Amino acid sequence: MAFDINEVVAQMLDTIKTTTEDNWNIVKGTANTYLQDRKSRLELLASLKLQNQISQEFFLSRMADEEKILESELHSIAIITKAIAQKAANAAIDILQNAIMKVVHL
Amino acid sequence: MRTAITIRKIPAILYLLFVLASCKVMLVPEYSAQLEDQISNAAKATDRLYINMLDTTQGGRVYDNFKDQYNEIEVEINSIQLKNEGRPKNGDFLAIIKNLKDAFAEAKKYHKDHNTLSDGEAIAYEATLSGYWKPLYLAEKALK
Repeated sequence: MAFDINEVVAQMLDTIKTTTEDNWNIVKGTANTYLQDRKSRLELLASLKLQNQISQEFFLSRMADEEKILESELHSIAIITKAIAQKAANAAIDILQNAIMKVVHL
Repeated sequence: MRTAITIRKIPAILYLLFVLASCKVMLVPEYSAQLEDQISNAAKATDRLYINMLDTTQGGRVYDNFKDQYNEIEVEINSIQLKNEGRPKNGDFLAIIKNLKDAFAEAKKYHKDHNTLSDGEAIAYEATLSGYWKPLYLAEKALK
């Protein structure tokens, strides 16, 4: 049984590409969800302030929260991106491992 | 280029297989269905806290009437934090949980200090705290 390293590397790259592409929509969808949520919250807070249902101090506190929420959202997107990279890398390693196992008939 | 495998290369290949098998890339913690449920339930409890408040007149919205619910949620956040501290590659998760924990503690203290909340304040806290829970929930789900 022959071992064609070029073919294996091509398959590994293809797997990385497919896994990344398949999961990229999750990152895009999540970022979009966060943007829409932020828009809704800001509209709500602005309307509560304009109707004097919350004080200026309370309003500013919630604005400070928005910065922290953005920080959490960025951490969340970092986790999602790393999870995709992990899936892609492990799928590529599996291909290499399987190719070697086929060669040695394990 | 094709390379024929000879007998003398087999130990090297077996060694390579062993290395590959034990060398999985790990950038994030392993998915936990139990943690996903716990996050989802605690987020629901936070939502329920403010929905219950808004269902009550402002006079009945005194802190003492809601302190048990606040404490239950705080216990859940602490438990989620503890479980995440025990996971490898937990840096991003711990940062999200710290923001959530600080925000919830501030909301609880505000209610305790003022004894009651206006409709506007309860509505604003409900929306803001939901914004803190969502990144944690979506991040855990992404580990699946």
